Amino acid sequence: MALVRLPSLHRVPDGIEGRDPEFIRRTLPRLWLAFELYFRAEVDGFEHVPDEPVLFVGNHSGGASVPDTWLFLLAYNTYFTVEGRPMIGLAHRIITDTPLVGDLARRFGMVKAGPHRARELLDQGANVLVYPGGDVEALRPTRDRNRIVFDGRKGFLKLAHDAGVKIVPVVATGGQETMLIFNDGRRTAKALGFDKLLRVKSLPLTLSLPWGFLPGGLPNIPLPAKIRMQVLPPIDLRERYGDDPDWDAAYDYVTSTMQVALSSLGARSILPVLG
Amino acid sequence: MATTATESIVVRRPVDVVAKVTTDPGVLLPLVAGLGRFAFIGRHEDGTEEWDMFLDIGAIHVGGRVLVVTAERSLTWRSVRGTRHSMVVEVTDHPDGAVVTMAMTVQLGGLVLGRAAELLARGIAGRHLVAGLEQLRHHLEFGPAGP
Repeated sequence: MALVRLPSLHRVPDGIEGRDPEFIRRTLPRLWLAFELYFRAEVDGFEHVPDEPVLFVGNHSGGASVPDTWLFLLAYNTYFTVEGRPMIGLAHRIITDTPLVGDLARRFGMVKAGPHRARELLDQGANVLVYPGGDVEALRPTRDRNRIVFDGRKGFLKLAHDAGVKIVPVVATGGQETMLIFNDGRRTAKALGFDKLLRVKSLPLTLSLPWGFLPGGLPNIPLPAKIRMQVLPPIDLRERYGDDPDWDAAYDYVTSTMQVALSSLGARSILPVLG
Repeated sequence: MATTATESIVVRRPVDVVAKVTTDPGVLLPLVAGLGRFAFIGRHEDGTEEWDMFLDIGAIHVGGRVLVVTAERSLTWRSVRGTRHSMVVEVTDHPDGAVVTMAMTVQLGGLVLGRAAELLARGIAGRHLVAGLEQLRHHLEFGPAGP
C-alpha cells in the first residue's frame, strides 16, 4: 500500500542474520551507563520468560525515539546473554529506514515489520518483540501515557496462536514522558493521506527537543524521564481459548491484563518525568 | 486544607454483581492497597470494620487505621489513625454494566509547603485509584467474579 519507497542506504541485512552479538556485547556497557544515569531505568520480571520461543507484546511509547524499546533490548541481552536465544524486535520503517539508525537497529536485532516476518523469526527459534499499537500508541496523548492503546489490532493474537507460542506481555511507564503530545493525531494523518503514503497513522501536535512544536514525531532528544518496565507471566492462548478462539475476548483479556499491570506501574510514580 | 482525587471506571458486569464485590472490604481493600499493605483489625457491633491500610509511596507509607462503613451500593471509610484521609466508593448504573467511582480526600498540614504536598498527593492518589479501579475491573470481568 505504501507509495513512497526510500532507496536502501543500509549495509546490514534486515533479518535475524543482521543481528550482531559481538556488536551488542561491545555496546551494552555504554547503553547501560546511559540508561542507568539518564533514565534511572528499572526492568523486572524476566524470570517469567519460558525457555522456548515467545512473542513479547509491549506497549509502545516515546514517539520515534522509543527509549523503552532500546532499554528492553539492553535488559534482555544482559539477562539472557547475547549468545542466548536471540530477541528480534519488529520496528516501523521510520526507524529501520533512517540512515545510520536503521543499521544500528538491525545490528541490535530489529527488523522492518511485515506481515510474515514475525512468523519466520519464531520458526527460526527467536523470541520476537512486537508493539501492536505501533505509531498510534507511541504518539498517544501525554494524558494517556499510562493507557494501553492497541487501536483494536488483533494480528498479534493470531500470530501467537498460529505459531503455537505464548504471549509474554511487557508494560513500561516513563517512555511517554520523554516528549509532550497534545492530541490524538489519527484524524489528521488520515485527512492528509499520511496513513496511505507513509503508513503513518497518527500525526499529533508534539513538543520535543530539539524540534520544539512539530506535527508528528521525528527522532528526538528524549527528556530524562524515569522508565520502569515489567515483564508479565506468559499467556497461552491455546490453553485459554482453544483451537478456535473468540478473538475479541482474547484481545480484551490480553489488553486488560496489560492495563492492570501498566496502571500499577504508573502508580509507583511520585512525579511524572522525575519518577 | 484538603485535596480530593476522583476517578471512575466502567465495569462490563451487572450492577448488582459489581456492587456486591465493591462493597465487600475483604475484596476491595486488598485490590486498592495492592501496592501497599493491609490487615483486618476487627468488626464492631454496628457492622463497621476497622482495617489497617497503607500505600507505599517511595520512602514513606501513607495511610493508617480506617473505619469502614458499607451500604448497598457504596463503601466509605475515614481514618482513625495515621494520615488524615477519607474515601468514598460508589457503584452506579451504566448502559454497559456499572460505573465504579472512587474519591479520596487527603488532609495535610502546613501552608505553602502543605499546599504543594497536597498537589503532589492528589496526583499520587489519583494514580493509585486508577490502579485499584483497573484491578477491580479485571477481577470482575476476568477473575473469580467474572462470567
